[in-house]
Amino acid sequence: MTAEQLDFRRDLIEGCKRGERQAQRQLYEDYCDAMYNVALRIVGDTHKAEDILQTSFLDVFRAIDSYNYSATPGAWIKRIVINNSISTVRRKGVAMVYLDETPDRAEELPMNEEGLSMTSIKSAIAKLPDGYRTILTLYLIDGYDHGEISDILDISVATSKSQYSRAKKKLRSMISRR
Amino acid sequence: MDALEKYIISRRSDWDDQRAPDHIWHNIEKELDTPEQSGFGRFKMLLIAAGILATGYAVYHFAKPHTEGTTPMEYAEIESFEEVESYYQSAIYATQEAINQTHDDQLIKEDLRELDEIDIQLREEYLNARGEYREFILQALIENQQTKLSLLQHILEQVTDQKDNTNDTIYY
Repeated sequence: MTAEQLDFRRDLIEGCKRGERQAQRQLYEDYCDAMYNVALRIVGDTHKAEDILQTSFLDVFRAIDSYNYSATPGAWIKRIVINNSISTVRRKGVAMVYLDETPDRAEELPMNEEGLSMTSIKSAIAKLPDGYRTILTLYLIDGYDHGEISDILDISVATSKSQYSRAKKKLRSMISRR
Repeated sequence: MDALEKYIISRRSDWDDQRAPDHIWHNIEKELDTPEQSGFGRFKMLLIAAGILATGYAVYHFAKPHTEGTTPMEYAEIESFEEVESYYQSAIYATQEAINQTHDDQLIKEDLRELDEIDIQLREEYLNARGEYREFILQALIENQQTKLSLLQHILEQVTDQKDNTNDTIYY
C-alpha cells in the first residue's frame, strides 16, 4: 500500500469514527467483495456468508473507535470476518479439527501444474470437511502462517501444522479421484 | 512447498471471484440507524443485574418442576437464541480485540473468566432442563453475554478516555 493510499484509508477510517455514512459506505464497498469471499470459503454457503458479511461490518462500525492502525484496515476487518465465520461453523456442532480422520489415500501423489485446474481444486476444497477446508484456506489462500492460524482457531501450532498436512493429503486424494 | 501449494498460492486472486449481493449494505444501513440495545451503562449496574439474574435463576431452578420432551416451540427458541448469541459473540470478540491491542489487565481477565464460568454452568444446566425452564436458561445465557459485552465496552471506553487524556495523537 502506498503512502497516498494509506492517507486515503486513514481519512476513510476517521470519517467512520465520526459516524459519517458516506465513509462507512465507502469502506464497505472497498472491502465487501473480498470479505464475502473470505466468509464463503470458510462456511461454504452463500446465505451464511451474507449473514456473516452483514454482522461483521456492523461489528466493524461499532468497534471502529478502537481501531488504532496497528494493522491495515483490511487485515483488521478480515480477522473479524474470519472469527465470525469460524463461530458459524462451530455452531453447527462440528469440530474444527479432525484428529481421528485418516485421509483415503495418504500417500503423496505426483502432481504438476499441467494436471491441475482451478475448477477442480475449488470443487474439491468446497467438499472438504469444515475443519480441513478452514485450515487449508486460511494457510494457502488467506496467507496466514501457522502461528496466526493457531491463534485464530485456538489450537497449538503443532496441531495447525498436522491438520494442514492432513487437509492437504485429503485434498490431493480428492483431486486424484476425479 | 509442493506443486499443489505453489499453484494455489500463485492463483490466489482467482478465489475472490464472487460479488457480495447488493442488498447487504441496505441491511447494514438499517441496523446502523437503529440505536444499539444497552440496558446497562455502568459496571455497578452490571453487577446488580448479574445478582438479580443469579437470584432469579436459583428461585426458578428450585421452584419449577421439570417436564419431559422438546417441543417445536423450544426448537424455534433455540434457533432464535443462536442468532442472538452469534451477534453477542461477534461484538464481544471485536471489543476484546480492540482492548487487547493496547491493554492487558489480569483483574479484567478474571472477571471475564467468572462470566465464562457462569456460561459453562448454564449450558450444562440446559442439557438437563426441560420445558419453560430451558427457555429461562437461554434467556439467562443471553443476559450473561450482554453483561460481558457491557463490561468490555465499559473497559474500552475507559481505556480510550485514558489514552485521549495522556496522548491525543495516539490515533493520528
